[in-house]
Amino acid sequence: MQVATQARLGEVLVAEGWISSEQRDWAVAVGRQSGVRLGSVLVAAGLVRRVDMYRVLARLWDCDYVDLAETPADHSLLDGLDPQLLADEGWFPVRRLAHPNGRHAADRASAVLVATAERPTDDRRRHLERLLGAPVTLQVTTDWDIVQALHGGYRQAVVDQATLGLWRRDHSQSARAVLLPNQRLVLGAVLAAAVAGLVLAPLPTLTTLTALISVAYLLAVVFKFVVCMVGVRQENRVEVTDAEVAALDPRELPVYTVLVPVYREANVVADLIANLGALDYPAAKLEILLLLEENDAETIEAARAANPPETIRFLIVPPGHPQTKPKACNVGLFLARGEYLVIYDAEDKPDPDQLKKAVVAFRRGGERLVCVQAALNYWNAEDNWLTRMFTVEYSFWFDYMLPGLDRLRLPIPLGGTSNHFRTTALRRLGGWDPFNVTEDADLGIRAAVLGHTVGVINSTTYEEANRAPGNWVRQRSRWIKGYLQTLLVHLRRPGSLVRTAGLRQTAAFALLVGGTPMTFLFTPPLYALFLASLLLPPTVLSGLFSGWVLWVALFNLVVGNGLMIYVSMMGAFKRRRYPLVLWALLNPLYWLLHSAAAYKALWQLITKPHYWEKTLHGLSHAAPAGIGSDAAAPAVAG
Amino acid sequence: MLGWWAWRQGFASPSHRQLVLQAEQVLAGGPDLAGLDHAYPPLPTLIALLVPGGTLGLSVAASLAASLMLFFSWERLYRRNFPAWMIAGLLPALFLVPAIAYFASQSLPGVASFSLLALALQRFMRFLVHRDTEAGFVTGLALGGAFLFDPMALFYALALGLAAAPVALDRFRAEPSAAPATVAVMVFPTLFLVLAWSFLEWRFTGVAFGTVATNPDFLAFRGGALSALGDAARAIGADLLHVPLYLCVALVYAVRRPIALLGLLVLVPGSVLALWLGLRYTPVTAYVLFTVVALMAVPRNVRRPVQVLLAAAGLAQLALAWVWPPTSPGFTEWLAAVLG
Repeated sequence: MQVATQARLGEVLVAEGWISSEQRDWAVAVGRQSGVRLGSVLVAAGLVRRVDMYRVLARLWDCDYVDLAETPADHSLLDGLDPQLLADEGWFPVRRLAHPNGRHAADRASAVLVATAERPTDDRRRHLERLLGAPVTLQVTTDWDIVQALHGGYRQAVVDQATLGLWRRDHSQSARAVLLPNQRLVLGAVLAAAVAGLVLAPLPTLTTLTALISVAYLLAVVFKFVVCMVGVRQENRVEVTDAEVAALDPRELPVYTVLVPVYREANVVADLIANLGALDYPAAKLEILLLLEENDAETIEAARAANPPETIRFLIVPPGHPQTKPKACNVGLFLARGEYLVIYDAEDKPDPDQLKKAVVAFRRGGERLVCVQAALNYWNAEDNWLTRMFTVEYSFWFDYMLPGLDRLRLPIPLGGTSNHFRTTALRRLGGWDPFNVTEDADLGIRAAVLGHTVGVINSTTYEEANRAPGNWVRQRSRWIKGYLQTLLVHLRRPGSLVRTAGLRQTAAFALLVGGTPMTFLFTPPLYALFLASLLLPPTVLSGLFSGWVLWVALFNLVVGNGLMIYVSMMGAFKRRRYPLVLWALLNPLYWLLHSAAAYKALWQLITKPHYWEKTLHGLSHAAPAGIGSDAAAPAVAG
Repeated sequence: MLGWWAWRQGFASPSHRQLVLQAEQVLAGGPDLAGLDHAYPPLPTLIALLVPGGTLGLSVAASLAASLMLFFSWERLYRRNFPAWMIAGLLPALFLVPAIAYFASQSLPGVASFSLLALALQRFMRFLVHRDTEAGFVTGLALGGAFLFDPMALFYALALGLAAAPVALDRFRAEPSAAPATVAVMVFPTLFLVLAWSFLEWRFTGVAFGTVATNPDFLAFRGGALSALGDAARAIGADLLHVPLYLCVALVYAVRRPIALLGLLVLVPGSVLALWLGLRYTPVTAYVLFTVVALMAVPRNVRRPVQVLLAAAGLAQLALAWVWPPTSPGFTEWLAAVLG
């Protein structure tokens, strides 16, 4: 928008009583400071409604206004047009104006009514006429109505891309099929061999299996411990400093898309809107999209009733199989405008400067850095024993494991939220796999396999820890199922994986993503074996297991459990959650809960692999503590 | 070289002879681990099982461990940018003392456990002074590792835990749970290993800590418990006179960073306790432990007069070690064997 137009816009808005002159002056200053147009600043600040702003602009541009929400559109006009181009240029072909059956050729070459959110200049008109091959009549509409219309017009394409895009791109990268034929063959052979062994030579087979499990257990534990100790050494390395954040020029900050998939979250959506409002980022450069499922009327109503600001918009996700969070995120990705993009969950409270820290990290990290992960932790740690254990676990994982993996340049399985992406890189990676129920972990591994890097930033998003065991098991079973899916997907071509990612990364992936569900699945049998060993005389034990097997099993029992308890203590201590440190001693019991979830996950992997176990939120009795500062409010309120 | 030469002259330290015997007893216990009561300390016994050559093999292993310890001591001083003349004044107290040569080649459990103890104490001081979480955990892990070589580590772990508690209470007044959390960080690995090993020995042999329990000096309290405690305190006091370098470093901390003094001083009650309880603890082990800790703990950024003082203390200690050497069972025999 030209300066003259902005100046006229400001005058008109004041003259017509939409804003005061002080508000205009404030908005002009903010716009100059952050490199954003006056209209955008006023809308983002909630001083003028978006639709009113564009009606005023329409009058300034001497153009009619069209309400796309109320105007039926001819979607055949979209054929052959690139939706991304339309979104970037801010226009939408609505319908033909002249009679198609006119007598003269000129009449039959009917004009097209095009809605535009940009100033309707002659150059623009000629450009659109070239693209559409027809005369164009321009009318003004809001930028958001353009996006909504595009989503409506390309609905089928959006759903198709969101659901089957990755599958079509490369079957082997999608969890749509749980097992490919060669995997079924190998798994079948292994199971057959194990069953045959148990029937024909039960004792040697049992010993061999115990030995294999013990060694695998040991490797997984030692690996986690080593990574953790490397992560501990990163504790004093600040990735992004406050000075670097403060040095960011608001004019050079890019548009940032925030995707928040929300499903059956009517009870937390009001808090969500408040939490997102605390983000320290120029409001006019934020594109916050609440991804709402079309069949979730209750949440849609609650979201509307929360009266969100203009920076928060609803994007309705068309129904279809699978109905999962990653599918919704792919819908949001379709026309996301931001140079960077982040996913948050409905109950999240991110540190206010998290987006800015991500910007610094991306600028510093080079083009290979496609994603940065913020730490996750819980604001309701003290609710009950389960939330305490959950917090201890998360503290260890995000404060030591991920920084350790980052430092060692090993694949990082992303957490489910607070993943920041370069938007174009995310599209190149194929977006999220809608069939994988831990689409985040899968994406982190896929990025590493394809030669990209994933990093971590020193910022935290606070969530609500699950306080109900049943709800916890549902959530954890989904995560473990997703890990199994991710393992099966990325081990489909092991030779190719080693060639592209390297042996080190492949081994780390197997130990981490495969080792985690494996340890939980085998924990109950190993505990049972331990209990049995308490009852059996040592001579019987030595008859069942050869010396070294017994030693490895004992080593696992002692050193393995001890190490994992200690690293859990480390995580809690580092977070200054001192009351939680001694709770780490209960980890061996907490792991039994994991085991229950793991068996449920295994069962669901076989029976309903793409089913998304919905986690209930808003169960905590604790009030979330005030975390972070409030976003800068308009200098002068409307 | 000295280890090989002494072996060639027919010498084998009591410590290594004991380890070789223990290894044989563990093997004799069979696959049902009935010999587990001879397996403590587990790591040196495992090394005795794996390394060929009996006591010679253990001497080689001890020498290698000692070389690492000496290297890290030198590296630490070098990386702190101390002048060469200062380093030259400090290191000989560890490099050029016959008793150290004996210890380094004839006491694998001692060398390994003291190296880990020194690491633990150095990190403990960093934990206290700089609130470095990593340092706190390395302390705990190093103490746990030391326990796998020598039971004395348990007492140092308890002493460090006790020392950490008041510091945590003072530092985190608003968070009373910080004190037990800090103590847990310090002592958990060692306590866990104590309990785990006790359980394993009891499970497979019916006796917990058989090796320690069969030590005739363990809990002997000759002359009565109080009298034995007094004797132990006097003995350690006398041992401290052999290590003016340690006393000098403690003095520097007392002036510059009193809080860090806790880490240094905790050695003293820990050593008294170990000796009082009858664990294997000799003037040579005291000399090595206090000297290694002193070298690891030399504070950075000290002014020239302090550098001179420390170097002088190191040289004085070296002279003292030749004129008034610390003694140990087997040292005299070793010296005689080495000198032919």
